[in-house]
Amino acid sequence: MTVPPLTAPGRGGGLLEVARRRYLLRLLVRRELRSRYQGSLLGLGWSYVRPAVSFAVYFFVVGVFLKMSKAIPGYPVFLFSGMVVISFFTETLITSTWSVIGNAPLVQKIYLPREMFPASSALVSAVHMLPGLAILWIGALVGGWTPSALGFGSMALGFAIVAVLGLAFGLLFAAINVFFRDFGQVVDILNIVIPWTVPMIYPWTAVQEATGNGLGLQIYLANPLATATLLFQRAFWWPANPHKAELPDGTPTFPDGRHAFPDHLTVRGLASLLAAVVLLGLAQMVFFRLQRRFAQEL
Amino acid sequence: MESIVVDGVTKRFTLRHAHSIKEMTVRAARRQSLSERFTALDEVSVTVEQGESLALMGLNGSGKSTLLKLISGVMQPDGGSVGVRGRVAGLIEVGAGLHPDLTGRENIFLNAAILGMSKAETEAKYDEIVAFSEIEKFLDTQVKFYSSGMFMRLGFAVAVHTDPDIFLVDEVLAVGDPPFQKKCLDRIEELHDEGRTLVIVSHDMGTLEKVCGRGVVLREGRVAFEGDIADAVDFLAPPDSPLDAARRQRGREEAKLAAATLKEEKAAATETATLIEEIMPDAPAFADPQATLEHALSLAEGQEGMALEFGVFSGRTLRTITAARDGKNVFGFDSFEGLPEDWREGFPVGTFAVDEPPEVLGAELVVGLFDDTLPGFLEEHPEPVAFLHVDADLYSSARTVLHHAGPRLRPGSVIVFDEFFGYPGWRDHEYRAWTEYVERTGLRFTYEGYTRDNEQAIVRITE
Repeated sequence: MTVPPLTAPGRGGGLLEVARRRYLLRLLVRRELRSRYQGSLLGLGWSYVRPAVSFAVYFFVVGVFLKMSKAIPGYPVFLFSGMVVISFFTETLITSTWSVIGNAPLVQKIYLPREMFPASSALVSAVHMLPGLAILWIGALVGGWTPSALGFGSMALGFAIVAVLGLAFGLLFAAINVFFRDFGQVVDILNIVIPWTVPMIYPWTAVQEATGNGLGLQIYLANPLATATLLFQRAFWWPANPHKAELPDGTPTFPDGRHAFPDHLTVRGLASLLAAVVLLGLAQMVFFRLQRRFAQEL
Repeated sequence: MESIVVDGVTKRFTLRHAHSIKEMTVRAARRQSLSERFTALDEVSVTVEQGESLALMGLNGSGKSTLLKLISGVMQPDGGSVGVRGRVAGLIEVGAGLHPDLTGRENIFLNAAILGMSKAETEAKYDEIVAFSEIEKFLDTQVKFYSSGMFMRLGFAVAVHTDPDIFLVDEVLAVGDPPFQKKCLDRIEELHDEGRTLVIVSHDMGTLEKVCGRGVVLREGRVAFEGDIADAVDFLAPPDSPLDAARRQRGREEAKLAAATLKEEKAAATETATLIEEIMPDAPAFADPQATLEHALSLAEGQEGMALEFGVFSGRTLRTITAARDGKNVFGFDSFEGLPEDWREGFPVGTFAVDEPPEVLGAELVVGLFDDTLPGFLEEHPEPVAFLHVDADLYSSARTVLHHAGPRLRPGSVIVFDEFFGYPGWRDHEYRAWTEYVERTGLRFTYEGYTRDNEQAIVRITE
């Protein structure tokens, strides 16, 4: 028998160890999915109801009353492509922020890599995204969507950005929330703001019009979430757009002639992903330092 | 080899008095401190050897649970270092990993995974866990509908079936009803016997003395005493009076004796099982001595000759024999003065003495020591021996019986040994007399049965 060396207990390997213990992660995700809708009439159906309601509100208020549908052909698909990816992000943020506190009995009594909890929250949100994605896809199909490498590539890139970013902020916020419970409130407020900081309800050209092509627009577009939203629009809305308007060189435009997407969207996407990965690394470092004190602070 | 090394560990907690801005301002204005440092452990050093069972003792708030949490990795020390060898699992409040909305079955898998088991490992232990928890009927019920006892049992069952090298137990021995508590204790002792390292926190001194070899007493975050568990108990809770001290001493000696006896009995049972596997693997096992005796009598049915019993005592078995042999040629031998010498533990000289020989219709009693009565008896009765019941317990008696009556055995004759094996020291008595006799005479025979978890064996002569 080999003799294991003396090691310091509770010095987990962070997200790497989470990846090693996939089996436990899977069970935690299943537990979360099971318990969230246990004893509710609609069960997983709530995953459809919530987005449906906010979709209806935006569509009627912004699309119909404020006549956004006129400016953007295929507005429902435009709106919904952004909503799917943004609600994935906000849900990840809310649930991971409370994930460590919600598992306080476990954190205080058994050593697990604590990254397990935000990670499972992010995975649960990803699962919740699936019905929305299905509806979006059906809607796009009805509008005449055809599969293309650009479409799938844009979707994958957009999803990757949001997933990595969601996990990064999830880790960070989960750790901070252990020490300052006020932080949960901050996250709630963030979630009201986030849908309006990305071109999900209105076209990005609205910001361009307001700020010119100046610094304001660059800051606005530097937001990885904005890029992810645009990528999802390029994946679903544009191919399904019934009144495609294009410049002679094939650049997609809105009916008013402005570009439907900022230039170099793919490059922006890759840069955003890189930034998100770096942020995840930082978040992991901060989390790792703070988690040493979780058990006594809870 | 050390399994846990706690080296000069210090752990401080900050007690924050103010949580909101308002509270902070108020306290600052009154020049009160905002927080307070509290040292839970102060330069504590403890080493636990591989396979050792250590009791962590102390009054409430002395730092026991904090130390356990540092060993499990739930908390990190502020100073010093903790080192552990191998996988640590804790019974630090069982049931922490149970989720009320999941069923018992799902919870077993989840909790096992939390404690570090893989799916395959859990599946392999699943039946054992279910059997241990005694909740078979409720496996598909959500855990929130469980009684608190069932909840704890489930948590405990999973925890004690993980496969750790180091097992931490925090005040959970008070789980469930007394039978379940006993089961838990047995399981913990089993884990200990398997060579795992145990650290146990409990206020139940009796349990600690039973399970642990060494005790560490913490007082206000420092090691106040370290040493033999009995001394540690006396240190933490000094005896009230000399009388109390003497009582404790007596209790400990008795417990030690009882534990030793139990160990011997277990060893005897294991050795017996090995022997059965070796010399009579195909012989049928009977549920009780009576069934064994009846089977032996049925084997001897139609065998011509006498039926002899050595060791009549109350005459109960002799009556069975008489009934089976139709009351013909049945003889019972006994001095009725009890054992002529010490037998095994608890059976000294004189045991089995009766005031008056029993009345057994159809059997003739031969009263006296076998040495004195048997030779003369055999001279008067020249018939062969068809059935022999050796119930004289002692080596010397069995040897005498076999020496005199052995030559009268014929192919088909049946012997029942009543204390053949299965008790501490069995190799020195009937078993020894029989194997020596066989070796000396070259008698051929087969084993025809035995009593399960008991002491009887049946032999049939083949030539």
